[in-house]
Amino acid sequence: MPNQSHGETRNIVIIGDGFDAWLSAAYLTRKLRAGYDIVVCAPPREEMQDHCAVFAGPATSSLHAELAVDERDLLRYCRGTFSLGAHFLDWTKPGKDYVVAFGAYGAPIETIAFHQCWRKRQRIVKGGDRFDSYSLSATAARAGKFAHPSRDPADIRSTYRYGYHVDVELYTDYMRRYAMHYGAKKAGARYANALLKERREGIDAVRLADGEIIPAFLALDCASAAAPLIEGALGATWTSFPSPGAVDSVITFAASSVASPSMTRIVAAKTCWRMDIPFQDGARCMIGYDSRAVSLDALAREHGPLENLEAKRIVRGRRAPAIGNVAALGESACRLDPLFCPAPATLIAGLKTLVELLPASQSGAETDEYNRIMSDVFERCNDFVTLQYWLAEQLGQHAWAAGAEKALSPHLRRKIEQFRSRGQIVQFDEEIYDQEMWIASLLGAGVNPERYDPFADGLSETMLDARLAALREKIAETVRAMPDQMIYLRQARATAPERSGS
Amino acid sequence: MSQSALIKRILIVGGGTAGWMTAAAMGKLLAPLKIDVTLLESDQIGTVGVGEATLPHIRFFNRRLGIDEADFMAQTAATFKLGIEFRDWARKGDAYIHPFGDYGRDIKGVPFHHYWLRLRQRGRAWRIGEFSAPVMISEFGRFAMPVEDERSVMSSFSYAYQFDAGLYAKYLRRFAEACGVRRIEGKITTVIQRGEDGFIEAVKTEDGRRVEADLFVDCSGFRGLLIEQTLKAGFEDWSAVLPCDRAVAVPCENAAPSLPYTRATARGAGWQWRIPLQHRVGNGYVYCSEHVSDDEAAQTLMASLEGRPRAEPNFLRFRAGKRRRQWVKNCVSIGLSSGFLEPLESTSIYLIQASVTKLLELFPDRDFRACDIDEFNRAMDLEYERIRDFLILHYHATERDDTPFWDYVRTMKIPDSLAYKMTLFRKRGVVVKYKDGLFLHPSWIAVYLGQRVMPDMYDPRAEFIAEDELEKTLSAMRNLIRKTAESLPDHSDFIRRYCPAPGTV
Repeated sequence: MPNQSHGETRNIVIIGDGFDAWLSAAYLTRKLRAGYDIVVCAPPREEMQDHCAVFAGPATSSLHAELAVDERDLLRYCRGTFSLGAHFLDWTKPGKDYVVAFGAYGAPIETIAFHQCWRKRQRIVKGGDRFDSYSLSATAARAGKFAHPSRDPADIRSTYRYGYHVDVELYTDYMRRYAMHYGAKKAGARYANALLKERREGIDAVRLADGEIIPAFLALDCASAAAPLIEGALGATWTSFPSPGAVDSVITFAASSVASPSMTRIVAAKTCWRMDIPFQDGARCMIGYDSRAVSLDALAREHGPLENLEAKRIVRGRRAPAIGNVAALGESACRLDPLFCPAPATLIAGLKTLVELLPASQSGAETDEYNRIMSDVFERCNDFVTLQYWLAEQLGQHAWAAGAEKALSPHLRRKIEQFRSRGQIVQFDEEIYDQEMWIASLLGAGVNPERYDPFADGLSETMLDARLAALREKIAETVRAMPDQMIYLRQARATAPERSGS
Repeated sequence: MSQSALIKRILIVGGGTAGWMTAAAMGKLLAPLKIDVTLLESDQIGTVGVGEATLPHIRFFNRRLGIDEADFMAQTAATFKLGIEFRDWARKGDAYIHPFGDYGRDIKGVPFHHYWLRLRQRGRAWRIGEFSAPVMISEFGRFAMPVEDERSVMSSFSYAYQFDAGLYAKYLRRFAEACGVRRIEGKITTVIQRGEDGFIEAVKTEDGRRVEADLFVDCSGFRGLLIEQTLKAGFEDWSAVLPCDRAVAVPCENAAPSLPYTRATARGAGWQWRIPLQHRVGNGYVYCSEHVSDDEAAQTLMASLEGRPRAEPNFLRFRAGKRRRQWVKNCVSIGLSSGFLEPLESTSIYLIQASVTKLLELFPDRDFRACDIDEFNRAMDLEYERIRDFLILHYHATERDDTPFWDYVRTMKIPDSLAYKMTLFRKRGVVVKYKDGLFLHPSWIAVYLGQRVMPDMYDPRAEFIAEDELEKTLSAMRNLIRKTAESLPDHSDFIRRYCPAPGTV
């Protein structure tokens, strides 16, 4: 067997200058210590990312933990907040709301899944309590509270996870500083072109605008939609996802604070959906709408003065995740609908998979496996977002969601069918969103399974009543004792100084 | 729809291992729903008595049923099982154990075997098995219960049982009957289908009785009395990739204290099992009839017994494959009626358990919705296919060319799904991950390496530790495992204290 140790340092060249590029650089710089140099080259043209605020889930907080990122420092820098989930309003019915939170909804009762028990009781009492009142994170989110989860599995405060609300530009800047602190380098000039391997099976090096040539052991296209490497140099073809409704454009703007800093608010309006991502001071708002059905002027009348706004087309689809030694990460690989902000989770899944399959064999086996896994990741993520549109179409009858049913993939169709039939969630090989989030979305929206687990009929009704009441009370009491998030942040010295001049 | 269309009567057809496992689980778990569960069997029809050797999953099954382990083991003359030893598979003279547990520990998020590969490239000749507690405990013939404390090497494994399948069926029968399952003796002569949709309405027995039910579970064995003979589910034949089609089995007397593992020794036209129980050893030769006659196979088996045979050799015929649809209309097939995979990795009882569990999860109503049936069939197909690939690996990854049988399996075309997995491991040491499916990471590593599928490359991240530090860490790990294994009680002593079978003490 040959000795594998290579001795020389290998370059991982990242093309890009935004969120995807710098989070990738930060992660790889820390995870690949000896033997790899991370070099970041700005793309030929400034490229806007699809999103300008991030509502990130638990994948991001566990990534931060892995990188030992100081969260307080990060949030102070980004003026961000901790997120416990998303609050859907008027999504399926005017006045109806529910929280899709990061964490457990109840706990199994005598091995029977909690939501099955809840469904049984709902049948008996004919409605009544909200499903999310059995989730500590949902309840805390509604109350605008936050505290870090407990590590003691016996403590109810260990039953949730969290993410963040951050401004993309500030977050990117933070990760840039982080990556460079740990040794990532910034190339002296912009990327110009790539020196291809034979038969376009990857690249040997990149050439910068000033003529410098940087050999690339591995190259990452993190340059958003333009994809200068994976598409520009290697010709990866684009495959569109079917559009889950009529929404084709978004606008984003700064807005005033929303009620709770602990969750993103997602509202269905007549002509659009509106997603407010709360920061320490104010919020970032994104509106998704059908440009053929509603004008910017009309939106401005409804949502306050929206001056000098530029509408952006929503593009949904994906490319080959990797070709040879070039991998596309983030928007260059996959552009998803911005609703629920799935981009960070897919980027992180890509990074983790890439590191596990770091090329060594020159056989292409790693690339094949990376492509197999990431294609599944993209499809399952798209399923989750499509589900939200489908709920808006089926239950809310919102015109902007019309056509979602036609966009369901066979996998999502099976998931919905199985859930409707008996409340079970079928999970496939590569899922980003856990079962609880699927259940919280479907039950919260009011998709009531026709049947519940028949074994729930073996539980006595009085026992079930008592258990559910006790759990609700325990959650309410725990949330009462939790600090308001803004106080929590201040005490942790994670708040940004007042903005000057405002 | 209301919950009221609930199944009221279930008829399990056949009383072997599959029938009684299904009956026990249903009797216990459906009790709160007041469903009538009946099992129909005939003393005139023999059972195959699959399995004898099991996988750790059975402990969850037993626990769910509330079965007391020591009592169950005593009643079935069971021993503990920490893995399977494969002899003479990749080459004559080779031996490795596929253990129920991890190799070493991940270091800095990188799977252990990459570090092992790195040191191997540098000439360190440690066997991977030396980093597995269950392998070392097996080699020393010891046993002790695993612990939960993750810091201990004793937390790195699980275990299963080797038991007498006949006694197991009897044990489950007592258990099921105590839970209210009714047993009817009788031989089925006619299956009556509903005119309008072909659903099974009732079965008629030789003595003229008519037994009706809402749900029928076909545990009738290979022939698939309901699922195939009546409902024509169809059979997907896998004999091109798993060519063994016969077995001859015989129990013999123990020659030595019982060992905590099963052995599978490769033979000229198949392989031979050895399953040590408390009171005897189960033996059998699984072979391909194209390459060896029944007589020759029996001779090979009888000549290799370690003690006196305790019965006449028993011949079995089968075909590898699975029912195209395991659930059709109101009939679910469980056990050999649902398909057959040779017992090389002790999967028969696992598959029964998986079917029962899935059926309870997707427990139907009397309207038998397509979506329940569909999902059951999808999930079971996946189970079968993923086990199939794992079994083929044992045959295909070989250097043996000493008989036409080994020449065939070595050179046969294998499913693309397996070829893909093997390439990834061979090139880069990566095990393909999936969510559903029986065999996980350590099992694939055990069999790949045991079958001499040696990766060309290991994970480059395994370079992030200095070589001398790595040597020190692995050396300490290896010593700890050896010392721990050696300090445990003898397996047979442990059995004698914990769960002696009546008449063995």
